[in-house]
Amino acid sequence: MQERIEEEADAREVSLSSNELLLSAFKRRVQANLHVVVCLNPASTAFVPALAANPALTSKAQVVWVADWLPTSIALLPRLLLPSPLGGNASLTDDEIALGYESGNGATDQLA
Amino acid sequence: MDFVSLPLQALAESDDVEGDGIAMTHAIATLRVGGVPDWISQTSSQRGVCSDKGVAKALRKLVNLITREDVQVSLLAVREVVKVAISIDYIIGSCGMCGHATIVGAPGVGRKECLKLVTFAHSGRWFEPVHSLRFSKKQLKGTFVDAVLSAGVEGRCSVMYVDESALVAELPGFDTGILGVCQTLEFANSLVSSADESVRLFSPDELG
Repeated sequence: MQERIEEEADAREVSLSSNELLLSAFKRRVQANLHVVVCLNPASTAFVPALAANPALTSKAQVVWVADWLPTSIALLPRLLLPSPLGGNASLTDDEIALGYESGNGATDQLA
Repeated sequence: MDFVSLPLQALAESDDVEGDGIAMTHAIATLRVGGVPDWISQTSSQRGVCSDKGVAKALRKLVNLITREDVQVSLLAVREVVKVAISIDYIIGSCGMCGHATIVGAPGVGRKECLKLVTFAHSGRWFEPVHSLRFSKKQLKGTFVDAVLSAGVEGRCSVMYVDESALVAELPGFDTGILGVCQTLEFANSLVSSADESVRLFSPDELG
């Protein structure tokens, strides 16, 4: 591993004189480039114990809460997954999908 | 309007409807011109501004692009998914800062797909322990070592993905503890808690 880091350092013309400096650079690089992402289901019985046993997952990582889809978003699913009765594909635009609008019936967005 | 990384912004602003590789090339070029982080210094990535609609457009292009790489991703870019993608993009793009995430949500709402797409947008590498019948602790450690080497030696953006299946599916050969504690999460916890732990994955022989 050391050889590979030194080769990389040489290629980038970076001087790494000692092993400590080398390891320090390696750690900084890992910190900058490695992203550990843990996905958990809050409905699981193991959710709270798992977080309690691994505190860094909440204290050192950013917690992203993914809420359930709103009814307006779920209502878009049939139009996308099922073929239109008149033939052709579903005709939702990006805007409609992103904003949860139903085309033709005006804005039914409940979030706004 | 939201702050997003330059690759996502470039994809959103590109007129390439089919989501061709041109947009991605432009995005990566813009990122490089903007400043690749120095090898041993911590810098933050540059950010652009983009609307929710633009992010949805970028996600749809990314789905097309990633499908060409033989990775099957099915994602419906509704508002909730777009918001999650923006959050993940902020975390993955935050070079040298808090780049780890715990995503909490019910299965099926697009957590993994969002992460895959954003990782692809950042030209990152994807690492995921696969809990098969013959999966052992050695293989688990090997997956983490690969991710650490990719990030630390090759300097590539690397995403180590662990999901809740690790909580319930650890197999004989693992010392699954009480209270749902599992070794996969312990490895993840150690790496998140300190970068020093990345070195401890290696034996002295490997380090020398």
